[in-house]
Amino acid sequence: MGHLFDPIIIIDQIINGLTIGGIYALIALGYTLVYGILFMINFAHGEIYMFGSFGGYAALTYFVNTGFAEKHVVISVIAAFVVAMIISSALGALLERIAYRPLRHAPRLAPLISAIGASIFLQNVMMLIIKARMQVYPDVIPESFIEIGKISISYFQIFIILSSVLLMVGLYLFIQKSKIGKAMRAVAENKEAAALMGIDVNRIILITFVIGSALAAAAGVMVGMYYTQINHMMGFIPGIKAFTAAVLGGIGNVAGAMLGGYFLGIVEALGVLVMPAEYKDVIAFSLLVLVLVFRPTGILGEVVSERI
Amino acid sequence: MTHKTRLLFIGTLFCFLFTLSVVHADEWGTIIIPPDKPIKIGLGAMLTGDYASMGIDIKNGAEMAVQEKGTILGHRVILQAEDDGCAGPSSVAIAEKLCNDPLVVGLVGYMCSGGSKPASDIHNKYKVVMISPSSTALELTARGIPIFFRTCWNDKIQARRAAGFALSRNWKNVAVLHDKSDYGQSLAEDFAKHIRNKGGKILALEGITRGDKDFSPVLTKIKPLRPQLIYFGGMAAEGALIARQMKRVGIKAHFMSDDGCYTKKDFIQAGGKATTGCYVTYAKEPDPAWVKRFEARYGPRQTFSPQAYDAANILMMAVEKVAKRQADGSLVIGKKALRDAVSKTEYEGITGKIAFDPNGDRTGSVVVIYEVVQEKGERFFKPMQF
Repeated sequence: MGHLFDPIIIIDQIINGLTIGGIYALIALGYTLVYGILFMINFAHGEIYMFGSFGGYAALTYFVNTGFAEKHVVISVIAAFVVAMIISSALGALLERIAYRPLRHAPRLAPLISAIGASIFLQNVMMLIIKARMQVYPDVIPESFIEIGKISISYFQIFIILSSVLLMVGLYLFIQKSKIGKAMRAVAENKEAAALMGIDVNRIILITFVIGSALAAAAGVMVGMYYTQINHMMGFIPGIKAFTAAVLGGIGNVAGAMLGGYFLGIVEALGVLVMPAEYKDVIAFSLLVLVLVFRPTGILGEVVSERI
Repeated sequence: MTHKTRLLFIGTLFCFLFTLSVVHADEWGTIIIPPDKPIKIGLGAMLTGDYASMGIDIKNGAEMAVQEKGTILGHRVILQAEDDGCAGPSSVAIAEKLCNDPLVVGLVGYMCSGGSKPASDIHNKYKVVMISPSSTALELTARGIPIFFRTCWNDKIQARRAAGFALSRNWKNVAVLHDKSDYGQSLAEDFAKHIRNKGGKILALEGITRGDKDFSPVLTKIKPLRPQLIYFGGMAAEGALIARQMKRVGIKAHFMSDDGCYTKKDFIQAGGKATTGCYVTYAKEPDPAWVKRFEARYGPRQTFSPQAYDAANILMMAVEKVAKRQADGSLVIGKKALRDAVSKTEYEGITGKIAFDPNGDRTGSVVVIYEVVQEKGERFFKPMQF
């Protein structure tokens, strides 16, 4: 067992954990933003992530087939992200308008059930589109890695870690500094008071859904490019893991979702060292249970999670 | 003869005829196909989901056999394909459905060992014969189920061949992964046993979860053990990712897997360049003339379509042999007679000579080692001399 605690291996595992953790964090932000404002869990969020991933897939495949990707790799990748974010944002906004807004004043179980229904519906829509078969992202970026001493990091991992951090910093600044961000915080604190101050609450809620969906889409494209295989059920497990991450950090708390995502990714990766690898998911969900029992408000919790 | 004795005579004659017909009726019961009704061949395979290309390939193989046959004794033959999701619960549900369909004479399937195992109990309850083209797990033929047959091989042979090949290359330090399924786990454990018995060392034996996409944590754990070979018992979706991700975490070992990874689409293409140089085990190549015919119709063949083609043909031949055509055009098929006909099969199929041992295993199957090679810009499975 001695080798397992070799610092090199631990650093390697932390890098693995940060990679998947960044993805969990990006999805978790969508849960937490919506919960912060509406006090509801958007269980269709995993499907928004899945649609984003397929949007990026369609764009990249198109660029590869037309030969455009060969000459302009960077533009193709950026375009794939943009396409994915547009598709997911539109879907998120649509979902809010159709599935949640009519139920805004309904008992709180109603929007939850509506979300689960939307999730099943979206999975089946994608299943019909792709004929229920696994799709494989084209290889656009050649796979290469750098070795620092004995530690090897692939460019992909660096790319995922950096871009997820960048997106989160951007989001944080947006919420703290921009006018819309200020309005979002106001709506989260008190909808009626915010409305009295002249804030269009419905518009802010819509924007919240759009932002959360765009972040999930980015995560979807990253997952597609890094793990290559996508299918119509791909949103389910990451959706639950990201939900776990959001609860871990304190649902409703933006910094908490980021922290929870990275924490979950790293714990999963390090847990594999001391336990059989098949328990990877067990680690994540045991954490969820433990947090809910002993600290339901999460690590940084501020919103009381009794709402749901 | 008086009127009374004549009546008595006719009465006894009827009784005699009746007992005769009871003696001749099948002890497991009969399937009756009414006139103008088709004969149905069932099929259970994963038609949606991660391993769907393998399942659709099986369906195409069986469908081609059924359509080429067309009719049996004046009855149209049709294939009823069901999506079994490669798992126990859905296979059992399909087994109940098909075994209770009065027109189903038998079934080609199920695709995965994890589905075939519980489904075979249901088939045994109703005594409906099943021939799996692809379920290779050891225990399927070791449970004394009389209605189970397979046109593929037994994993006992596959594990022994794979281990023999690894040792012949002097790869003695081996890490073994499996997907915790009835198929992958028993194959991987059997492989590990052979390696150990022949003086090799198993550095790690770890399970992964089907459907997971990130195996870098377990591969990073294996990396410092410096294996010469990573053996994976499981399917292509996960196998291709392991082959890719082991390079990514910096493992410089060889990769070997099983028939679950013998698919061009889901392993070679989905895995990208990382799969070049990987080894998989599978049967001998089927008859090239058949492959040409098949590919003209359905596109590139994946894995078990030849075995499914043979399985459907064996089933239809047995039906033809035992079905009794009645005066009204209906067919009477004894279930036990049908099973016995299948078990006595001597058939020159496109995958070679097929006969079954008393457990339902195919006799004399050969498992070949293939390497993924790149020649003239094309990557494909190339049989190895071993």
